Amino acid sequence: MSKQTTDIRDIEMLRNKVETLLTKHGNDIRKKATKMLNRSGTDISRLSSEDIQKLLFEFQCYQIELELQNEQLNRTHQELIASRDEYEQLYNLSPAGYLTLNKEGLIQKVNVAATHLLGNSKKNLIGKKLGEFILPLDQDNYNFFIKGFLTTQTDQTLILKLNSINNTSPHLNCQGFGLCSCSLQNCNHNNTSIYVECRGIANYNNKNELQICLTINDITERKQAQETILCLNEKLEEKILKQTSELIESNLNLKKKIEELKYSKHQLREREAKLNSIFNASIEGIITINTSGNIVSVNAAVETIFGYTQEELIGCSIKKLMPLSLRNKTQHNLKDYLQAYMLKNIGLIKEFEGMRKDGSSVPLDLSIAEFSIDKTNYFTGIVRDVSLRKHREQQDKEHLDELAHVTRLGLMGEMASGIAHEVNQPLTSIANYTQACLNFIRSENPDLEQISEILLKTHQQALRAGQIIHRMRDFVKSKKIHRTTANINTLIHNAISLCIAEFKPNNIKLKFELTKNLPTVYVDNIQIEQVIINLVKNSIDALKTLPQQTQRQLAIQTNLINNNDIEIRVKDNGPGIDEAQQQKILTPFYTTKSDGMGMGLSISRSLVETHDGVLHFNSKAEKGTTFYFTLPAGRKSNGS
Amino acid sequence: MEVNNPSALVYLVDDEFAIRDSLTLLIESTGRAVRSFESASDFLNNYNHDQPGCLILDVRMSSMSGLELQEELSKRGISIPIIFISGNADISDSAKAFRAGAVDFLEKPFDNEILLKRIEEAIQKDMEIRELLIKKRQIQKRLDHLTVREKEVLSLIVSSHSNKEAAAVLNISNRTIDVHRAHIMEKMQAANLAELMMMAMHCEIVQHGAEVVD
Repeated sequence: MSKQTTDIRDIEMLRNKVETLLTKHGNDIRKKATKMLNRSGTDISRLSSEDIQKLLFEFQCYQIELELQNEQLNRTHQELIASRDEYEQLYNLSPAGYLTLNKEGLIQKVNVAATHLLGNSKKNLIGKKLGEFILPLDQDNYNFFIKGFLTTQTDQTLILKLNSINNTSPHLNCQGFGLCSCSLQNCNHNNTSIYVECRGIANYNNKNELQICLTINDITERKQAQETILCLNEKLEEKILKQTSELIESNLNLKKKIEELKYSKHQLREREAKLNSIFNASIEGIITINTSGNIVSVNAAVETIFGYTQEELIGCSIKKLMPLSLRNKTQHNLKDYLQAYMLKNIGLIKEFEGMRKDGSSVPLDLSIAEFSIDKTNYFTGIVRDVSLRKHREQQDKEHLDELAHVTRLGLMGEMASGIAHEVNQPLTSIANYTQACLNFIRSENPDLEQISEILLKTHQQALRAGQIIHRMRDFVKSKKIHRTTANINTLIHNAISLCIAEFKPNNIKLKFELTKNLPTVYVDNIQIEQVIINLVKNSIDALKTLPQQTQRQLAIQTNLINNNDIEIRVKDNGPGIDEAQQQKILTPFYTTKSDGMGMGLSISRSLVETHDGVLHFNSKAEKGTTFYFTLPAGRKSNGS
Repeated sequence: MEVNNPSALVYLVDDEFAIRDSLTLLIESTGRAVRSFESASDFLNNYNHDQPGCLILDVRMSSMSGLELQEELSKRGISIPIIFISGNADISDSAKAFRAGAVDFLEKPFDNEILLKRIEEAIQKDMEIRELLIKKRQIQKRLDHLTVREKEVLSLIVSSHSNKEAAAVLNISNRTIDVHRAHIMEKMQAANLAELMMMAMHCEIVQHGAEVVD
């Protein structure tokens, strides 16, 4: 309130001063004019009336003109005063502070806003140094600023902080405070000082003195907002930096991953190419089918093996490659058949018969793998055409059979005298019986019952002789392999019947330890008998080297082992085989006998192996030797 | 059927039943008694030395072979004639058998006639051996009755020494030799010198004398 009254008074005072100044000024002008007129030297008395009249008219014109000018001047003066008032008003009411400093930096003039900003009354401000109100921190800047005016007299701007302890400015509260979480330290919210922007211009006043006009604006809010923004920016920057580094890191990771992916993609490509080349270069046919048995892919070799082109096969049922018998079997349940077959044979190599395009059958080795893509299962079968191998195997087998036959002939030669003895026994009995009969018939009262009894015995002996001859003939004659279901114990007895004559003269005790009710075997009887005879004869030969008084024993055992193999053991208590010989006795043409060929054991082993069995032996010096071999029980072997 | 020496027994050793059975029947059909055994030891345990006869023996048998049995019999002083039968003739076996005094070595199957003939021969041989043995025992008995001097004189006489020579050897008179000789003839129950010579040969006194002559 007091402030407003002082303002009005000030204005009043100012107007009075102006008016006095103006009257004074008018009087001064009158004097000056008279003086100037006097100096012009024009003497009115000397002038004619006409001239005077003329001059008067002119004077009157001038007067009117002057009056008009004066009027204009007055009006201008009034306007000026109004404008001045307006200016004064504006000056005082402006929200920006206006200050006028002299060249010493003393405050000459100050408006209301400036007093508010500086926190002092006009009275207290006029004649004071503005520097007093500036925080020590900005003093240097301020001094340079002022100095700058004095030297360059150009426009300058400075932002500084005012020390306004008594300030009641509403801008103290930082508006950003509530919005952001910037710290007090950064923003100085509690500080009573305010930021101002000083903008100034240096000029000369009407007294030709250098003065500095300054406008000061409160930019605390802006500054604080700026600081807040700065702070937020910093935070943001920090955040951005962090995120950027995170992004960079993840970017790096991504790049790395991309690299990896690229690499693995490359590898995949390489592998694919490799696999592709293998796939097509493979001499083994590769067929992929789905679970329904439809062919998904085939390689080039399939064409070679089966005669179908790839186009002819893809999409077709796998049945197309199966033999007719299997096609009929799987007419309705191919899927089930495949499932069962795969389950049983995955990971194994199985022999399989395929059918070519021309209808001929082709023996194959088949191995199967399963894989799934997108939950769909596929089977990949790799097939190898083994007809050549089969052919060779057949040839080998024929050679073996041939060889077995030849060695069998040799074996028979070795056993001939023994067999002759075996045949002679019943023949002798027959001769004796018949002669006895003749003698009885010739007697006076022939006992017919006795005679018929003797004849019966004769008959039996004849059969016995016939059997031995028959067996011997079979043993020698049989060249063709003929597998039948047989009882192994019967085969042993048959074999022994051909070499029984060897035991007695050599004082060898033969013991049968045969397991009853064994499963049957599917074998070529003659070949297996040959193996048994071979082993038995070897044992006999070994036993023969023992001193006469030693108890010579030979045992033949049969057993079921592992549930599906029958094992035949030929055991003697002979001198045993020494270590060095053990290494060689199974090789062809190696023999320890003076009259041996060295083929017996090697042939025996081959024969056992063609029957899917194995032949081994144990031997201990002074204790004896056991040869044993196995035969698969109760099943037909693969070959037949 | 008529047979000589019906008391004789045919022993048969063969480990094969059919052979034993058929041979027994065959031999019995000719009227001979047969006793068969399936092993050599069986035979040895049951053999009766007093029973005349012959032995039909299989060469090849388990435990003890025919040849081994022949050897064992010879060791035991059993001189039963042996006919070997064999299923697979071996020359060395047959030579061995013959050397040890076998009657024959027949290969199976053999001619029944030959076997039966051999059996008869063997039995005959056994009978002769047995007779000879009895004679020898009688002579031995008589020899046992001679004095030492008489035995010396006998030995000289059967070695073709004359009375004179004998007297000279023994350094006694011819007369004394005559007396000894008369005693010897009497004790030995010899009808003449030839008979005495026969007896001396049986008892193997001759050999000794022959050595002296040589």
